Amino acid sequence: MTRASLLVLSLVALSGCSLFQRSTRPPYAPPEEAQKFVFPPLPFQEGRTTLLSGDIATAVQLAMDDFLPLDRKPPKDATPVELCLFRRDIYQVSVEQLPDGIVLVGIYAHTEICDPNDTATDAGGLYAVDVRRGLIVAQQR
Amino acid sequence: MPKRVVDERGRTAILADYHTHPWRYSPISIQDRWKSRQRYSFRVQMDATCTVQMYIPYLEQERPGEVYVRQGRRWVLMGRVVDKVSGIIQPVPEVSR
Repeated sequence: MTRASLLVLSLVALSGCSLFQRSTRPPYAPPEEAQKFVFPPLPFQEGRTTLLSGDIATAVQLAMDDFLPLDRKPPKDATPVELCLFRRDIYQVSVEQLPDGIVLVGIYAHTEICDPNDTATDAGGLYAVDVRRGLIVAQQR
Repeated sequence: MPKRVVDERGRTAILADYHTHPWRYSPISIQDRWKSRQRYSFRVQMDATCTVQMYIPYLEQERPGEVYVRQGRRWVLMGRVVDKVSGIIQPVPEVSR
């Protein structure tokens, strides 16, 4: 095989790798559903609004993306309980800003949502996030 | 952990939970302090540094839950869980321990 054809082959192979890049963007509803959604005229009303500082939001995103990545998929033979445990919304997130600037993020599952008889299984992780540097310093999971 | 124990010789009752964590500096988690998780009169947990903590939830009582740490032969009160639903803890000042 000539050097030129080897180069072309490797370039084709490498560009093909880009097709297998992991998507990190959340899925969107179809356009027709988006068009039907009506944003409220007075958003973020008292009594039903939660404010998160940038530090908190960033720390939660970093920890959630590591613990529950968007492309995480259940096994093909998953039981209904196992499928439920792959939902992000069953996890409660606890956040604490430590005095040294590190943000502690605890992500723990309310397993009883998936199985009312299960109030014992430990399913969760604890993260120490350095928001300034945008990285996870340590984790226990 | 068994969900049910059947023993014809008498009635069984779940008294306590004991478990370990494989990490250093790993205290009783907020999940283990949730009210929804309390099935025992007390929990004991040990981490990889052999630090032992105990949580007493005081089920069926208004009294706050209490977290203790083992120091020598004593259980030292470290914190109280006033909001038992969330499990958020109020530390006991060092001078008071």
